[in-house]
Amino acid sequence: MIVGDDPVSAVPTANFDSFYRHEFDQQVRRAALILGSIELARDVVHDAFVGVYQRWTTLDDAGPYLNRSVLNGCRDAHRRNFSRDRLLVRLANQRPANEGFDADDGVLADVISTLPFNQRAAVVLRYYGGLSIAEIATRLDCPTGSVGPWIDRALQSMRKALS
Amino acid sequence: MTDLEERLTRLLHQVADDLDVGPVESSSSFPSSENVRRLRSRATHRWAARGFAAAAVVALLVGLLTVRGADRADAPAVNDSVDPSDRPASTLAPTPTPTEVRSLVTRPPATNLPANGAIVMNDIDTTRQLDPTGFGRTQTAILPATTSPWPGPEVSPDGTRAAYEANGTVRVRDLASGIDRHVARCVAEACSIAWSPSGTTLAINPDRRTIALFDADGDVDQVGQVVITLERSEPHIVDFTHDGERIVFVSRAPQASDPSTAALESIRLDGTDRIPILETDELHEPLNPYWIDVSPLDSTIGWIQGIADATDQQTHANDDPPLALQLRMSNIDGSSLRVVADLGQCFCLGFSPDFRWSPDGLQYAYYEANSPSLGELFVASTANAAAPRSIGTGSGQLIWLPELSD
Repeated sequence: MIVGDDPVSAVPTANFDSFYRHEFDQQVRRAALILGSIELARDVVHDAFVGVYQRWTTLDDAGPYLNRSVLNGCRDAHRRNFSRDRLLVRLANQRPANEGFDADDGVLADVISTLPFNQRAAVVLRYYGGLSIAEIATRLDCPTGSVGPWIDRALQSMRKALS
Repeated sequence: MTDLEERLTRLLHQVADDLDVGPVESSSSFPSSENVRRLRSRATHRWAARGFAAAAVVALLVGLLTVRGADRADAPAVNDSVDPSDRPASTLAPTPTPTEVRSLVTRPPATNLPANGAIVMNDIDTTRQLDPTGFGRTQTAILPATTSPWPGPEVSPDGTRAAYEANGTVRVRDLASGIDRHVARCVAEACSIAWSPSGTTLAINPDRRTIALFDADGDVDQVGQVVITLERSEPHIVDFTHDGERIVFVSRAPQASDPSTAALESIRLDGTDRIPILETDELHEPLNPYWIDVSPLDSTIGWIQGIADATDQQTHANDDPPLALQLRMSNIDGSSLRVVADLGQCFCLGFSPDFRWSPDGLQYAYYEANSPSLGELFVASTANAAAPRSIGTGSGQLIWLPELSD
């Protein structure tokens, strides 16, 4: 199920508008999973694109810059909004049971929404973005050795909640 | 991949697929819009902000002193109106049948209780109840499960009604009968609601950009009177001043200043006389708009100020650094700024701080962070702020219920 490619790497970067249209949707979805708010995610991604736009002519590769900007924006937004991030729980609970969601999914969503930012971001990038540990470390601007323990701790929290 | 990892992967993909991201706006506005150009990522300011942290502190102090003596320039009048047709009808929902409303009217022991009401800890993670657990009396009102947790229900000044938002509408619940009245539409994820001191008007931030006034007894199709349209689309907490003549609100990137600035401002109800109360550096002193409350008694404003310590940011470079919290107060014009209490370090995970004035404005309640998931609840009087009383532990939003005359 994991998608192993980093979507930004294949983006045509010659034209800002095509880059923007290619990236916007996926960046918002990823940010929404991390932040728990679709509106907040749109704001963060929009801000990041404005930053990319201003540096468009000087950036060799806009993709990594955009990724880093979105994650930094998520981190700042997370700190400002603290406990409002319940989107995942709401969406999971709104899913009808016959669409494959069960009580354990609700528990998982609940645990994810309470994880510290770095653990949550690492989980989303790993299991939604399909990134490797090294790629996640680059995105989060942290040592590679930190990412594995974050994911392990997150999974331990989920196992504990499920048990 | 383990079963758990597979389940996690499926859950995240399915939830992401369900998201309504909305249309991709044209990027042609990027070079022309002055507002958009100001919305640069805070990340690009991070290093500059760190390097000039000391200068920022000095600037903050100078700014506060300046605000005290600043002339209050009149802002252009704004008397627009909110057009309900601009809001999606799909967010409307019929009035739900109240599932349960109980009138308990149990008188609590006299010890440890505020003089004029009960404090409610509204546990946002487990219930949507106005539940006077362990602290008081009056009603337990069961609100719809879809009630927006932040900002939570707001009880009217006379204690008989609670305004809250659920399923895209702002509703006023009569606490005695349990009957809801839908009074306005809300397209924001979290609509801030405030009662006027008279209990007749609601100030609402219905769409993350405007603050408008609505009749508390009106219907859902009523047209609100816009007080102000803000520069940036974000939740803006609103509150009335004690005399009901002004609205206090939090804004980001105000008045063309740096986007890493947050400000507390006030404005007259007719949209004139917009004045700043204070500005803070968002990177180092984040101003969470949900932790601000205006005294119903006088011109005092209280709020919880986060302070990100540079040493902690380095120590916790790979984790969420804790925030040092302070309860601060000032007058409505920014004067008499003071630190009222140090509230400890908050990792702000399962527990969220809060601060609320009592209905008579003579007392206030706040949490001190004593663990990642629980706070110790204190009540202090304005006459003796140095001697707060601890009345228990908990988490979630604080709501005072005024004592009814029954």
